[in-house]
Amino acid sequence: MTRLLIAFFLLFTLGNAGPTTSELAKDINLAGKQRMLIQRMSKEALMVALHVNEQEAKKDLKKDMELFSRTLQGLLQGDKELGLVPVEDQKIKEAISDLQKRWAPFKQALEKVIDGNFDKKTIEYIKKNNLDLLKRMNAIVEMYVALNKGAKIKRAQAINLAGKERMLSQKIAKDVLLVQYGYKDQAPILREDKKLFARILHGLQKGDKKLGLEETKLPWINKELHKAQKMWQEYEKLAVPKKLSKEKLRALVQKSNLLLSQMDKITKMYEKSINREKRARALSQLVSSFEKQEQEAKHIINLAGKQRMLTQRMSKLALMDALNIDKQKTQKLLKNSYQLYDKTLRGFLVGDKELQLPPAKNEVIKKEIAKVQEVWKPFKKSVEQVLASQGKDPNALAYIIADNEELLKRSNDLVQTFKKEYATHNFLEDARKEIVDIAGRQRMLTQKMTKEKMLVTLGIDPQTNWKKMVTTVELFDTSLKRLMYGDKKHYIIKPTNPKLVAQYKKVASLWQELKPLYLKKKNSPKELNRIIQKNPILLKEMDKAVKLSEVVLEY
Amino acid sequence: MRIVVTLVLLVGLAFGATKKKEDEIYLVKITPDIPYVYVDHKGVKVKVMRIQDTNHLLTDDYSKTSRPCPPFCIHPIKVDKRVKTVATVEVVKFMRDKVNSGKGIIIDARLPKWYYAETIPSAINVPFTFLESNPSKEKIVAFFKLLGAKEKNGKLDFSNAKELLIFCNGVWCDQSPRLIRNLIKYGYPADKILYYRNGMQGWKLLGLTTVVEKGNFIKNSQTK
Repeated sequence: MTRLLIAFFLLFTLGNAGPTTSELAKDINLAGKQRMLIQRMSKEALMVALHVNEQEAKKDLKKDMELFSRTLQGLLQGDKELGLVPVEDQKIKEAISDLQKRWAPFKQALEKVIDGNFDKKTIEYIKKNNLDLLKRMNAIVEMYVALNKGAKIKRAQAINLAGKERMLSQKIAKDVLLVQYGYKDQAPILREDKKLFARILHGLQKGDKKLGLEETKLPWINKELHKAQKMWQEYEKLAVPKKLSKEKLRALVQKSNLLLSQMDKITKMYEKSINREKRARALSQLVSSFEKQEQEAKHIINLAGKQRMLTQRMSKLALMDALNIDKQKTQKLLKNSYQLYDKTLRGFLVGDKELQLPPAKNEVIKKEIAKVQEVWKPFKKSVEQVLASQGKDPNALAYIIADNEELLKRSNDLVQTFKKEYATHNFLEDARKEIVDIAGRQRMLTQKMTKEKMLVTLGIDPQTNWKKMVTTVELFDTSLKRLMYGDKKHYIIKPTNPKLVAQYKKVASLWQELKPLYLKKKNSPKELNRIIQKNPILLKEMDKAVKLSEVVLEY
Repeated sequence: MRIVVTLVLLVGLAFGATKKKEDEIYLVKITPDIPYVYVDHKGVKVKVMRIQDTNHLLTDDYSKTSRPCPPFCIHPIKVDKRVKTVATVEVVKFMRDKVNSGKGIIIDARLPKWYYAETIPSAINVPFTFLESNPSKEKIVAFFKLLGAKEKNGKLDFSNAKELLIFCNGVWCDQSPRLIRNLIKYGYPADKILYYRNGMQGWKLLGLTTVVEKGNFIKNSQTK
């Protein structure tokens, strides 16, 4: 159910958060293309005026005017065919509406050129006003790029500036044509435009901090940028503020169009690369959300396993306290252990940020937790009494001794419920959970056998506790062998990771020293002391092995 | 005319010199005409080439010859009769022609820890577990859409879906076969899936570049 919710959440967030990354990329591209159209229309009007490919220029001019009007409207109200979504940002809306008003008289001037009903004043109007339109269109593009701050498109500025190159390719041709028409004051503007074109092209390839461009690292785009560089070198030679022959002007116009197509191709590639980046990100988000669930399951099973150990540790420490062994330290450890058990158990039910536990939603798990709580409440009270009486409350100690096994049993039932409820039905995950469970149980067994040894030493039901201890020792022994040498039945493969093998060897060597001491009927005080001293080390090393087996890349 | 001929000769010589230089630089090429390819790995340009040290030997996990079988048994050449099995050269060409043009995706089917520890450049991670344990319809649809399928009249249209090249650890690894079988089971067209059976072990055995990901940092195995 949680997985389903996450999938829905992902779908929702990926699909409905304002303009999506790809929609925004499209808006930036098409708004940017409008800048180019302003310049291309001006260029085409001048071609008509100068009789350079006149008929073709008229046809193109008409098409460009229609496209410009449609895109402007599309940016404002959306256009499915063009892939545009209606703009939501109020400032952009106002700026586009304002531009639409200014576009109307400019359009009329262009229509006059198409109809052949123009004079020098018309050209003068176009020369003067195309730059104003361009400036305003550019401001709109910048506003779209600024929207990207929330969308985090890495290459938004690249789309913008690669798009701007389309405009510049046309503006440069227009500048040259204006010079031909007699506007000599256009020469410095032409120089500036050429400089800017070259700088952006270089910036797209190698990066330009001031322009906000990162080096393009995508080989397929670099290849096209390299082609554009070559085209630019040829075009640049023709784009000079000199009187040019009709033939050269035709070549200039042709090269400007080729460069425009190339820059358009590059802009679209940037736009596509964003979509690809977006897809890869969404895929990894989708996958990792499910992976997180798996990790969470392993973490919960590990903590539940640790609870088993704590039940035995508390019992062992309560006995040590009664025996006045390291009184202060023992009491402190006992307090820490019972607080941790309590916190973890509560965490299983209501969640715990510090322990990274989510609240339980599964009814079966909730019921199992309630069963543990039933036994834990009186047990907890007894531990508190042991602590308050400095180990002098025989009833509390007796309760702990008598009921710790029931608490252990219920804690273990909870581990098995978690394992069952988080079942994955695949070999690797099952194997991992099995290993984490067995290795985790080993930690508990280290505590249990020490507790039982102490009960025997104290003469508390010595025969039963001796039997129990022998069983615990045997279980620890066989489990360690299963972890070290593998167990096909339980999907455990013999570990080969050197770190893990070394850690198990360390545990085995400690165990080799301790095992005969546990199994000795009567121990000297020195031997008992060694058990008490070495037992926490065995626990610590076993804990290291559990953690390693959780993270090591064994399969 | 003489000038033109001289120029052509000079360009020819220069090209020859560059070619020769490249041949000298790349003693160990991928194929006679492919010394390396560039590919994008999460926004980072990666040069995929072979280790140039002809004395280099594998020393890591992938030098291991034997693992317990079962479960790590040698897999047959075919995972499904409709799925094409490819070798290492085809993977390099897939990178160059399909991944770089956005038509294909390389998928690492291993568990994430393995993927982040080391993978083939440009690969994305889709652990084989992702489509196991009865995935919900929503999950499958979301996943297939990200692979380029489109929803039309309540059905998925795979005509523009990406070509997938899937790998895991090697010939003894059943993770990619499992992912492939599940992809087909849930409707992904088998003819759009390629199985790179040699996997990581085969890739590494030829000294090809790998990438390691740590947080936001991507390390190329062939750069120091």
